[in-house]
Parts: sequence; structure tokens; C-alpha cells
Amino acid sequence: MPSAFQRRVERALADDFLRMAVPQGTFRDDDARRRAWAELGAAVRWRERARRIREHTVRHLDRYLALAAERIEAQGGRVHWAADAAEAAAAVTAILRAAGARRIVKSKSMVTEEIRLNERLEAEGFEVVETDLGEYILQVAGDRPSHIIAPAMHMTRRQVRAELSRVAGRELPDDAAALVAFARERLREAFLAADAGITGANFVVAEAGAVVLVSNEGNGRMVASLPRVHIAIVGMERLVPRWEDLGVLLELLARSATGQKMSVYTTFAGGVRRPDEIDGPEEFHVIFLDNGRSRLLGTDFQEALHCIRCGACQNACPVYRRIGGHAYGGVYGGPIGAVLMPLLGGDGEDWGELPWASSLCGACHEACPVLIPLPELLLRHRRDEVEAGRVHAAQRWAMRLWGIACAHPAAYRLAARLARLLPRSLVSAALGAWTAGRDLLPLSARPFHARWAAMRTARR
Amino acid sequence: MEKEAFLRRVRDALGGARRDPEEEGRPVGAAGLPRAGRPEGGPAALAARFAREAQAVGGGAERAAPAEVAARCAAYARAEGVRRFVAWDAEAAGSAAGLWTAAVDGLRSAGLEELEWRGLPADERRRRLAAADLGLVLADLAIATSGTAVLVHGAGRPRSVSLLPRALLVLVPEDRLRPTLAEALADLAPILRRPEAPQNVTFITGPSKSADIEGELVVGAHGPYRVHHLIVAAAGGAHQ
Repeated sequence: MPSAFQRRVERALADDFLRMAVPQGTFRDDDARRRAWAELGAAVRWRERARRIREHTVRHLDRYLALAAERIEAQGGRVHWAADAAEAAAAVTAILRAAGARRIVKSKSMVTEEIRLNERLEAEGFEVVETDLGEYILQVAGDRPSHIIAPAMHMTRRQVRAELSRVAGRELPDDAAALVAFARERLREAFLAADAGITGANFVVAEAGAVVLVSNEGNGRMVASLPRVHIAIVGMERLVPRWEDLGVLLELLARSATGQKMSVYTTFAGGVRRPDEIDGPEEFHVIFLDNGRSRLLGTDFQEALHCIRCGACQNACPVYRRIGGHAYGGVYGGPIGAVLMPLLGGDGEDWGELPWASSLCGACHEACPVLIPLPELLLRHRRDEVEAGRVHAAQRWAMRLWGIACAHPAAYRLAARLARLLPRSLVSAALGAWTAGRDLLPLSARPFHARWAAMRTARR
Repeated sequence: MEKEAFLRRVRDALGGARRDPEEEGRPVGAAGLPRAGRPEGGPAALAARFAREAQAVGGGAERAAPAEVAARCAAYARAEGVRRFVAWDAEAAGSAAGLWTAAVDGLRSAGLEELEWRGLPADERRRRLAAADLGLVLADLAIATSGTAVLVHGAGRPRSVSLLPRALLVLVPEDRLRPTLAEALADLAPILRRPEAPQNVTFITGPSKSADIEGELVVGAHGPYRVHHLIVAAAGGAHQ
């Protein structure tokens, strides 16, 4: 009986467009990342510095959270603390109600996907519009993002055209530029009419209490500039101590995500609009969200909180490249998703299967701008799964027998001889899923240890 | 959740053992990191690099002497076919007031109408700003290695001017060019650390773009379709 994960993988592998689009997009951005890193020169030293900055920040997270909160309030902002998705949504709802806001625009934010904020706000009667083009398309289509940076990577232009034509009430041209132009016009109206804007944050600079927003389209700028209320929802680990430290992370973020030196727009936004300013928010709120993150602190998985959400590990991963993001099932797919989802939980699944969806080839570690040892974290998950007895009984027995055979040469030889006597079809059937996609290699007529012994005799 | 309870949960989970010794070993930005491709030479070299990088991301850039600013702005406006522009306040130009006035005069001389956004109710003002073809702004700093203009927004310097119109013209006094992001941040940090720090600082690197439909790059998502930079040399410096 295939698991839900296996069924999602099978569906992905049967999708002709996905099999073309995901490798195309991921190889392109992976290649762009390599070139952009090379331009920086000694990229590994920048990455090591970035790793130190993230490590230091997370190790002193309580201190930097307190500092950021103090600075935000000193500039007329308000800070809210949310233990989980429900508390975050309740805080947003309370802010919107108090401000009399009904029409909401949102910029691209993975953390709001994580807490399924739109569903919660719509249930409360608010009108929410996603304004990143990819996210807008997904909202219209009732779909979810499949990649951290390119959320609609799994959709064809024809599908996008059909969805947007439905919104337009007329047939739009089969042309990306025309579809973008239509969305621009639609969303421009939404920006101008919105009462409140909701963003995530790429970073929060603790010493200033400023939210840093990075985007190519400009949706982050629009959402944080035009409505009279700006709410930033921030995963609590996304802090950086000082402006100079931010500089190191910004040099790596865009390069790692898309191979750009800088994204088109990088905005620092802190507090409320200053006296005599005509734009910028009158109310500024920051919601720091835990939602399972504190469970990682002080454990073997603390380094997963160093992640800056660039998507480079997804682009580099040979498994992600084949199955795409939706197969993983959670909001975060790819190597970082396979590490985070079992820890953060959510959507009523235990996600214990995801850490096995990796060949442990190490490409994700090599691609990570902050050097998170993703293969090691995946292994730690597997260890925990085994220790908790959550693996198949047959696998447990096979490993136990293998262990005995390896520790006792006589037992190993006997087992090897017996294996040679068994018909291959029987072995193949016993291995079940393992041989479903692979051929079982025939055992050599002469085992290696016999050949080795012969070679050594011949040398003498 | 209460702040204290939230922070206590974080503190308790972290424990004490894994901490850095007080402030020791704290990383300090990009100090000491090697940087390949840093432009060498004076303002002209920085300007040339800036122009190359701006063009690489789909923007435009040209270098002009102060006396040429009005004519260049007029020529740009004619070539772009823009008719209505919005601009920051002249008082907000500070030490670059002369350049600023020349640029505004140049646009007017090309027959452009300046749309007035001051003194209007918020909704009308936003629509007025969005109706302009061109926004005119002044860079506070610029980054040569990425073709980035840095705008410090504030009173008389609305962020909408660089965001809502279809095209953007950025004046870049040449002495404000910095080789890399690190140098620009080093100059910006003292301003950002003041008690009356600006609410909004924006780094703009080329025109707005999206690649969300089958990875195809489309220019002009939410912000300007076109971005042009006029790099203004110090008096007499443009042709050296």
C-alpha cells in the first residue's frame, strides 16, 4: 500500500509538464547561482561569514528579539508575539478590526503560507489579494506554492492564461508579457484601494527594528508603502544583529536564489511614516512567530533555523528536480523542507517519510549560502525514526542480519553462499519496492573475498 | 502570547552552554572578506562600471557634465515619449539643489507637464502619482558593482515617485558612487542609527521584473518598466 507521499511522487512523475519544467527551472537557477558566486570571489569565505552571523544570531535569539522589539516600539511600531498559527491569525485579525480595514493586499511570504493565513482571514470576512504574480496566479487557481522563490513553477503558461482569462472575463493572449500586463493592471487597483498590507520579512535588523523586504516585481514595496497599515509577519529566527551583517547576507541572498547580484528592490522599512511624509504606513506592526521553531533550539536541528529561504537547495537537489515541490506535501519542499517539515509539523501529517527522500549526495550542502549541513540533518532524522521504531519491521530485521553478517566473517560467507543458491526471482520479489524501479544485479560467481585472497597469494 | 513568556521559552530552549563568549567572536559584517571584481580607479571608473551593470539588468545609464543635465533630461524625455512627470521637492535635494533644478527645467523645456501631488487627499494623490509617465528622483548613494541606486525616502521625497510611474529617471551625482554594497551600507548605517532615522530606504537595481510564468523574464511587473540613470560628474569632470 503506497503512502500518501509515494502517491504524490507517482503523480508528479506522471506529469509531462513537470518533468520538463522543474529540471529546466532548477538547472537554470542553479547554474546562475554558481556564476554569481564565482563573481564574488572566494564565495566560501563569504558563506562561512554568513554562517557565523546566522549561528551567532540564533544562539542569542532571545537577546536579539528583545532588542528588535524595543527598537520597533521606539519608532512607533507595535510588536506582537505569536506562539502558533492561530495566535498569529488572531493578532492580524485584531489589528485589522481595530483599524477598520477590510481590503488587504499581501506580498509574497512563505511564513504566511506556513500558517495558511489567507484561509483564516477569508473565514473572518476579509478580502485578501496576493500580489506577487506567482502567488496571485496560485490564489486564483486555488493552488499552493511548489518552490520557495518561483511559487508557480509547476504551472504552464496555458494554465496561467486560462486562470487569468477567467478573472478577466475575456480570452487573454497566449503571451507572458500580456499576462503580466493584465495582472499589473488588476493588482494596481488592489494596491491603490487596500486598507492594509501584509508582508513577511527577508530579515529584521535587530539594532534598528527595521524589516527588510526583497522583491523583483515591487510587490513588497507596494504593500509596505501604499496602505495605511503595514503588518509584517516574521519567523522569529529571521533576525540579523546589525546593518553591516545584513550586507553579507544580502550579497548572498539574491545570488543564491536567482543568480542576481541584487534583486530589483531591497527595502528597509521601520516604524510608522515620519512627520510630513505623504506615503508610508500610519500603523506598523511586527508579529514574531514561533510555530514550532523553539522546539529546534538547543537540539541537533538548531542549524535548520539558519536558513534564509533562498531556494538554492531545491534547485540543486536531484530528487526535487524530478518530483517538484508539491510531492513533498508541505509548504517547504526540497532538502530544507525534508528537514523542517517533520520538526515544524502541521497539516495533520507527521512528515517522517520526507528525510528518506534523499540520496544524501550533498548537493544541497554545497549550494547552501549559509552552509547548513542538510545531509547530516536528514541523517539525524533517519536516526530518530529508527530509534523510535518507526521503520518497517522487514527493514529492521534486514539491517540486524546485515550487522551480524558484517561482524562475523564466517556468517557472512555462509550467507553469501546461500544467497547464490536462491533463485533471483525470489530475491527480487522479497526486495519488493526496491526492485520495482531497478534491476537486481546478479551476484558474481566468485565472491570478492575469494578473489581478494587469490590476488594476495598471486602477489607473493 | 505574552512577550516575556515567548522570550522565556526561547531562552530556556537555548540553555547557556551553546552561547558565544560575551560579544567575543561576534561577526562584523564583511570586514576582511576578499572581493573579486572591485572596480579600481577614480569616479570615472566607478561610473563606467555602474553604467555597465545598470545596462546588464535592463536599465540605462549615461554620464554628463553638470552643464549638460538640462539638455540630457530633455533628450531622454523626448526619446521616451513621456508627457507627464512627478518629482520630489526641490528642497529635498540638499547639496544637489543645482542639479535638481536643472533636471526639472530640462523636463519642462521638453514640454512635459509636472503633475502636482502636494496638498491633495491621499486617494487622489496616489492616483495622480500613478497617472504620471515618469518619476524623477535623486540617488543618495549608488553601488557600482550592481548598478543599484539607493533612495532615502522622507518628507518631500515620497516613495511613490520611484514606484508608481511607468518610467524612472534617477540623478546620480558621481561622488555618491560606491564600489560595493558594503561601502554603501557603511555610509548609510550612521544615518540609519540616528534616533530620527528614515522610515524607508530603498535599493533599486533596474526595472521591475517577473519570471513567474514558465520562467520567462518579463520587464515591468508592478514598478517602472524603464529605469534610466544620469550620472553627473563633478564640475568639469565629465570628459576627463
